[in-house]
Amino acid sequence: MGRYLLRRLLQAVPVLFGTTFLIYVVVWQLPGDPFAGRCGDRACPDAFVNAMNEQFRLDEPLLVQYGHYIANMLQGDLGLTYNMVPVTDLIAQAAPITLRLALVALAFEVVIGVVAGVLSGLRRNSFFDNLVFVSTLLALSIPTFVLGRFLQWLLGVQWGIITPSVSGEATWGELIVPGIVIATTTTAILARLARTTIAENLRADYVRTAIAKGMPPHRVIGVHLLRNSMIPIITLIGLDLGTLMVGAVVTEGIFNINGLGGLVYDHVMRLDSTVVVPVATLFVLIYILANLVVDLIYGLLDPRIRYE
Amino acid sequence: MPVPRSRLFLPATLSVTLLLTACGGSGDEGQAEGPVTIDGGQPENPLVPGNTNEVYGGDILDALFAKLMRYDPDTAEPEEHIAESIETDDDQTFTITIRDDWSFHDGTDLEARHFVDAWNYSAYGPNGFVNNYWFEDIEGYEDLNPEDEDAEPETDEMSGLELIDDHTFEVTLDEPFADWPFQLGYTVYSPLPDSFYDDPEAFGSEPVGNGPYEFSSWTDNEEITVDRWDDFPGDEPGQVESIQWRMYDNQDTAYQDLISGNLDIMTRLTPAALAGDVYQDDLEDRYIDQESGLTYSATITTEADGYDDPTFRQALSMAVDRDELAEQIFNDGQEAADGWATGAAVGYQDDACGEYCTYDPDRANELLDEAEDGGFEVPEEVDFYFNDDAEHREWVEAVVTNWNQVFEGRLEANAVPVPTFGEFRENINNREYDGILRTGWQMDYPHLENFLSPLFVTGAASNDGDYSNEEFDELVAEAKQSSDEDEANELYQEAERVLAEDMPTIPIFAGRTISGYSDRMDNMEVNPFGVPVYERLTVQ
Amino acid sequence: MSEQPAQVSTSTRPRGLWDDAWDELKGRPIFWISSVLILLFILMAAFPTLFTRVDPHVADLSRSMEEPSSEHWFGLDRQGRDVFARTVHGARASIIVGLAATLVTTLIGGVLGILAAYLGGWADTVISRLGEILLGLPFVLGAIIILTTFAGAQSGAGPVLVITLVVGTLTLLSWPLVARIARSAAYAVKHADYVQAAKALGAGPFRIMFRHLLPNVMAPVIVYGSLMVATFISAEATLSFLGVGLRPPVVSWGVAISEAGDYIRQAFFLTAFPTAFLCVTVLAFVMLGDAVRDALDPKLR
Repeated sequence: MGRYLLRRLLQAVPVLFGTTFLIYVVVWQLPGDPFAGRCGDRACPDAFVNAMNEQFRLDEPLLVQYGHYIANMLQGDLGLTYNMVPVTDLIAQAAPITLRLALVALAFEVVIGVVAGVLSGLRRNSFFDNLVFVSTLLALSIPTFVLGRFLQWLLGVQWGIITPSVSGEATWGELIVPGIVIATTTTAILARLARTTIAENLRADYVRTAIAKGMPPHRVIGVHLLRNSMIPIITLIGLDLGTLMVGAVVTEGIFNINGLGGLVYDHVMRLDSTVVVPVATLFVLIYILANLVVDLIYGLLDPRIRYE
Repeated sequence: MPVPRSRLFLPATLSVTLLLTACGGSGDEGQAEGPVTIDGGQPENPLVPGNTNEVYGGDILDALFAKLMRYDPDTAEPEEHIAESIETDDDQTFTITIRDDWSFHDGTDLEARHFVDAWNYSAYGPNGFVNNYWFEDIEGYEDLNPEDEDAEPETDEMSGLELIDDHTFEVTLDEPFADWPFQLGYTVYSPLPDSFYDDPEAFGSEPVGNGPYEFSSWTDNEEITVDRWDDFPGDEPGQVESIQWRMYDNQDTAYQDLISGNLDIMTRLTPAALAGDVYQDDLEDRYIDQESGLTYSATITTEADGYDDPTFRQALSMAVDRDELAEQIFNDGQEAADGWATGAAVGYQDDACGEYCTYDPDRANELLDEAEDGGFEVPEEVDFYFNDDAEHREWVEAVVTNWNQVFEGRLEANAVPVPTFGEFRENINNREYDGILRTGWQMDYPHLENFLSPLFVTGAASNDGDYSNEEFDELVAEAKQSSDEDEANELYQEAERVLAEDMPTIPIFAGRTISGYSDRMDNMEVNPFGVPVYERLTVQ
Repeated sequence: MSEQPAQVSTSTRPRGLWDDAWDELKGRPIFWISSVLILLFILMAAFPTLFTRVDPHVADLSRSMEEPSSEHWFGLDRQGRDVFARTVHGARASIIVGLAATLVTTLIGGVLGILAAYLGGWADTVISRLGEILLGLPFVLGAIIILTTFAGAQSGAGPVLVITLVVGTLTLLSWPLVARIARSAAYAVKHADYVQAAKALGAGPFRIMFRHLLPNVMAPVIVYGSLMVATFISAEATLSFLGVGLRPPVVSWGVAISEAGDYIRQAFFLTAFPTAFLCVTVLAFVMLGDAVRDALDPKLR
């Protein structure tokens, strides 16, 4: 177990470096001089463009730049954005907001998605099951941005229940609607997955055996069925964590939330690569860790699984 | 909105400030409810006047810094502000005397050297300030910016700047330029306190100015707040206690906040709000609609094959139905242009473009015939390039549609999107486009001259279409040197009419600014630059 | 992922999987409804002029944002273009993106997945790790970065290039998912007796991969692929909405929704019609995918 963990973590190292390099190279290729577009509708003075290029080492070969970048990054220095704001400050400011948003979305997914899925799996072909089925179809068919814009307009402008934009503090309350918007698709997928898994396991031998030996239904469901059905559900939630963290690009934009997704989007559009590399790396790190945690949870849920 | 996080790519500017008129507000303000909030965005550069030229930073610097001159918020006419007098005998050497009762927010006295040092620093090439070029008229500018980019300048002081005493300095220009003091109300010419030089970087995130408001706080991507400076020596101090710019990624969100009372002032309403006049329902009478110094235009690469015929360019211009476009696309939030400047500028003349800026499909086709008779070959495809990260797609597409309809079968026009402004700008700088470019101009100071020389003089910094006409150059040069204001203006106007004959750039719209405000505001005014007059704001 | 704890695979399929699947599908109304809808949209994409004779590019600015009428069923857009014509013509871009991206993704992902499973060793490691990087990068973010990088190629690009770029981006970011599914399916049968037997009889690697591994990989990949079409169509609209996906001159639902989004209050129909078409198309593919999955996944029968 300990060795397994260590090996997994060690394997993450090249992946992380690969990510930084890949993204660095790609972002470095962003077309357009990041400083040429900063003087309104006029050409920037050469003195300005040169000074900026020099400051950000853009005039040096790619590998040299990358070397400097990694060296600084390992010392915890992520440098300044082209707007002269320390990258670490921006990330430190945006990360908690994104985390809160992700947690709201996660809570919604788990509560609504799993509960609806389990219930409809237990009562296949009931009215409730059909209702869930139709709802999930709709949820999967409406793109996030359509839903976001619509709810913002309906709840924020027409009904005045929420403020159309989220304030700088981004409190839990303000993040409920954006969180739901982000979670919608995954909630639907989760509900369907839960339904299928439950329905499948209902017919499994061990459930039949449990019922046959006279175990009360709530124990069958609670102890045997749910526990065995959790593996695929947890896998999906784990894999989706990354999506939650930044699936937010669209939603964050619509609701003016200053999270990581919006931060990266903004800077890519301004051809400012400084924020993109660390944030993207952070996402990959979260993804790898989430996968690891999911694998460890497997072991808890299913003692047959052994870590080699 | 095609880009949810679009930026307004306006070349900042917006000097402004202060006025003398006695019509200041009521003076009593119920400040219980916190700062007046205005929509804004993260400034692109540190808040240093010589290094800021976009709206988000520029708007804030306007409140923080007072300049030698100021532009009357009602008429845009310049008048002395910190300057007590600006005198000249030959239009080349100006003696500037400043008031002796002014100081910076930190309490240090404002002296003439604060101007001289700040200007030298901004003009010094290796400092790489975006507004560096503003000082090029001053004698000795070249020494600070050697041709060879790698060479270290031998001096860091312009020979044209000379301190006379604590409150007087002398400026010598390379050549006579009678209207030169006109631009001294622009942000670039702000003074900097001594503390700036100790740590320019720290200063940029916590600037110390000399204007009606002093810096209070800045949270990146969230807000910048300024507080009223109670010792402001000028005639019109600020009234509301503090002003806060809230940074929005999405302008539509700002508008939603405005109508739901979470934002007090929105400087430029979005097209979504203008369409169908919904803002008039939402805001009732709480909006201000006025002319601004912004133009929208289509610049033609005059040197390129297929675009080097003035008659063809005039034909294109006459095929644009500006009134229809302004009404349908901007809901009359912009006006059909009738020349290259806007009514906000001193020296503006009506109808400088004449018939060439009217919509006349028949005449446009006749002009095209004429061009062809003269041996001109019409390009098969006319490409109109624009940056697709701001609100330009709609009007560019509409212009292209106009051309395709008027010249049906004779040419095919295309709207060609370029994803980001940075890329668009770089390609223009490298002259990679042949055809038509989406351009715009936000005046730096409210004078006709500012709409002509930076854009159309041979080799000028923003002459993106490489226009060159000796007659035009001479008229502008002559006007610059003329010490008689009326005569100068007439010469500028004549130069502008030369543009109608050559049509290097097709004027499309003259900008208007429509600003909205919440019912918390008691008084709200907008100056000719389209910026709220901060010191006149009052709340209920 | 090679290090996934060993899970017991239960995919020992009954013979005649495809026949059984077809029988199953035939009896499901949802399959027929979705198929008819999809055929309709494909027809619309292939021959838009069957549905409308109006040129989607013809504009009459003076009638900007005119409400739906008998002359213009869906009204006119901001430029005064017929919304019905634009919506019908918009089907092409969306459907092409959805189908092409799915096809390329399943091909590349399937082949790489089988290779990873068959070759094992360093090939497996490289493919899996690369996939991990691409999957770890959130989809929308990755697409924005890639599309912005290659946006230069989009300046003045024709419709074909613009669509190719979007398809390429979707593929690049999605193949690892398919590869992972294919890999585990192929891995499960790699050591099966009949594969070992074929090997012993001297079958070459290609023969083993295509004759023995591929058929086992087909079903799970197809199940996933049918759902992928819907995802891609939706993703295209999202990217266009963000301003990095398709652009004019391409006519697409995503572009139309993005352009109309500002005017929800003034002209709801501008958003409503392309959105409805988009949602119904996605819905149809989701339903089909659902039906196919139910039919192909024997565990559910």
